[in-house]
Amino acid sequence: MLRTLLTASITLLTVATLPKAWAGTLQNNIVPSSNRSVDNLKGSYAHVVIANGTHYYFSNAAPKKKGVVWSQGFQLWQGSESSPNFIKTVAPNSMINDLKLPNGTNDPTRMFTRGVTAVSKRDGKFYIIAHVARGYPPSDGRVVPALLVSKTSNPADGFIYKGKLVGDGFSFSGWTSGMTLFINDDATTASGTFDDVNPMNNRFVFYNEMSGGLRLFYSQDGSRWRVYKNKDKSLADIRPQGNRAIEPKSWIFNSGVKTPHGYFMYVSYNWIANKGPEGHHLMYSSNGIDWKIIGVNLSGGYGPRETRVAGEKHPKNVTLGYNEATNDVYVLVTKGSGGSYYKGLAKFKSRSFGAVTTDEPKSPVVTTTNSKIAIDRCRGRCQ
Amino acid sequence: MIKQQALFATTLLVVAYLATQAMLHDSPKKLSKKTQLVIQKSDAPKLHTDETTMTQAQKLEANTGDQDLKNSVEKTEDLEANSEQLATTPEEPSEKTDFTEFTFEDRIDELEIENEVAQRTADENLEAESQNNLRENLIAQKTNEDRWKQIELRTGVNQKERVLAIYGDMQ
Repeated sequence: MLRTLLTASITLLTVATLPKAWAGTLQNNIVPSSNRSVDNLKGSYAHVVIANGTHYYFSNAAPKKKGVVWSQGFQLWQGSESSPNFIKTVAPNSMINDLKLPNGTNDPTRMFTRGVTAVSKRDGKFYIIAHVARGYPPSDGRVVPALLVSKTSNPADGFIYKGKLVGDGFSFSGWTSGMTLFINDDATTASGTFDDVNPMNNRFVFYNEMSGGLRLFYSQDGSRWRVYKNKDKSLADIRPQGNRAIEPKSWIFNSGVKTPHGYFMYVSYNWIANKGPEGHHLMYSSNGIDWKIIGVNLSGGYGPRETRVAGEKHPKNVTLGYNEATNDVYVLVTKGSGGSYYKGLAKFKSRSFGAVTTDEPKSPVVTTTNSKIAIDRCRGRCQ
Repeated sequence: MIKQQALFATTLLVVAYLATQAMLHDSPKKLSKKTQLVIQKSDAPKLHTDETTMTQAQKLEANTGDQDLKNSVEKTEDLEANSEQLATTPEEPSEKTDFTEFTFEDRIDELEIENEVAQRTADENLEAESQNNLRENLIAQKTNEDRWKQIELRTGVNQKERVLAIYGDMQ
């Protein structure tokens, strides 16, 4: 009896002292009820990269100094898991050298925004695809991706600007915001060639919106890219097809990770000016090409301004990070507007993340053939 | 006759003895180093004590039993030793080269100064970088504003407002 009481007491004590911040990951695979705030981190676009046992955060804004943003460009933060400190500007806007004025000089309005970072095990370097623009709003109507590579295996040593991505037979144009980059270090495709049949066999894979759809781009050197096409040579749209509820939506701010349990990607959709996106989808793919939605309006709030991801309502965007050593998937939520943003962080075991990919997931998760989509659509848009 | 001869012989012996004594008393001062070395060399095999720790004078005393000779040689050795010491001993160390005290404290001061200078330089560089970035940001913002004004003048529509109405804070 005494032993039983003692065991129960110890169990209760253990549960009570569990870090509350991560408790949500135990309660709901998709939407934890609580998360850790990442107060230090600034910027409207941020993501975490875990490499060599270190949590590197990258964002598009440095801490304010005397009330003003004193340094713009791609910023590095580093520190503990949820409390990174500002390190330095690793890619200042001034390094952009392919946004020129008619007289050949650099455009003074050039700037970085919307970036993603991936690490190559082959050379130990960090690769960034960040979007470049002529100010905000961009005076030429373009926000297009560019490549940067770290000088060493330490991102604090700075980056080399490689230039805007070059399309093979197409051009990146308009406003784009893709933030998913995979580096396939096992790629055997020879340099300068492309594997058009299986795009995932190429060394670099990048997802970005183009011509109204979400496209898969691939490259061997990170500079010259092709876009994945259907057999009929039309542009392949990786958005799950046959879903009337989602097809008309504008998908932006994609962010994905590759885990042993498959690929995951968050997207925001239907941007509403001065409010933010109407909602977010979580998608799953076993091969990086064929995707399905496993979470719609992730809070179950079913309506604009009700979306809750990782405990946060109305986030602007959601980025994913993956820790290969611990098998954890990180969900970083950015919320706010007008230059004032804060972040929330939740993490899951990728196995748990993968668990929601079953064909019969728990509500409010729906598959593309699930009748709950209609409920979702009507609750969110038809009332 | 025999008595006279005996007295003469005794006198000669006394004179000879006195002369010998007088000569022996004067000899240490007159002994050259070469003579001493010869004495030492010839008597060396007879030494009964530790050669390595004995001075030249001690060796002489041990082998001759002559205290005066020993004293004399000691003086010579002392003089030679002193002269050698004078030739090799450096100047008395000054206070500034007292390693244990001066350099330790002084090095701390130097490091503090170096740190202060480095920090001041870093602050100045950061401030300069900040100012430069702020200036570039202002130029960028003004340039962007000017461009949208030019677009408005060209099209007659405030395109910037239209864009912001669609995208808002999507930077």
